Amino acid sequence: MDDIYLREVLNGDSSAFSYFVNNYKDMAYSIAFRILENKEDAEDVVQEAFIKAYRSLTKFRQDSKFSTWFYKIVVNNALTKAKERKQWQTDDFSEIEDIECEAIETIYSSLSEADRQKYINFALGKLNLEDRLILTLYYLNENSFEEIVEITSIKKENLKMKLHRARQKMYVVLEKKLKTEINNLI
Amino acid sequence: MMENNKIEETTKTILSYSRLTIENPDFNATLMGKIRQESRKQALLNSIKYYALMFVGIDVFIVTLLFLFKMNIFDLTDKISDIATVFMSGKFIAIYFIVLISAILFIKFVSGNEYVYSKIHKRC
Repeated sequence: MDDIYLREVLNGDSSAFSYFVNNYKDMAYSIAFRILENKEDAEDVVQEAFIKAYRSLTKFRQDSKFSTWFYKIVVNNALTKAKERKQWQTDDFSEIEDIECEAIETIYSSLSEADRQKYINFALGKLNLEDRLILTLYYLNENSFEEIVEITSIKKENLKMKLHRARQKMYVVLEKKLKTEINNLI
Repeated sequence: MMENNKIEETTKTILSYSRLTIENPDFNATLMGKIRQESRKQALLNSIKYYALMFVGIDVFIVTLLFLFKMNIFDLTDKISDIATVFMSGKFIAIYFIVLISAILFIKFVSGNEYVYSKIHKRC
């Protein structure tokens, strides 16, 4: 489907580009937000990325999916903005213990949808930029390792380990937060 | 392996709640406006390239012709006795043609380009 609209845009029909805007804006926004942690900046980055993609559409060689190529632009734009703001936060996870995911899932699934959103956003906010990005691309957008390597330029050998650590960190934060909330309720 | 798959599925389910959507209702309209503007700019740039190429090409052709017929368009002062001779000279006709072709190309470019036309129209 992407190919059809791509050809239309390249043939001069700029309105056909709205197909890409409608289909990719929310995921691009999720990615940009996970890097910048600011709604307005994330929105600006997505808009700039779309314009940049439109300008460079003739250079897109279609050896990867449009989404992979486009998300790479989003990530690069967001990282540039994060660098400008010197927004390089690190986390304080020196050692990560093994977590019982099932126990967390049991508590998590008993929450309302709004609370689930609240807690996962809280947990992601406690991770560093790279961890948030990897988790979002792999689990939310369901990108393959190859696609993540292309989007983020992280070496493939390191990616599996980084993903594992990021997931563990997320569960540590989630467990602590959920336990605190349960204790508060009791 | 089974356990690993379970963790993967659980993580996927948990992270599915982190999906965000753009809440700004004007996002699409604003962006598509900018895309259309970008499209016009690109069309303008292409037209400029096209007409500049034509302009240079025709001028080079005329100057080459003048050179072949040993006429120097930059030298109008040789043995000109009166104004009538100037207007009758081949050099003058050559210059006149260069100016005329340039003007035609410019008018064609302006009228044929929606972006430039709209800018001029707005100013008027």
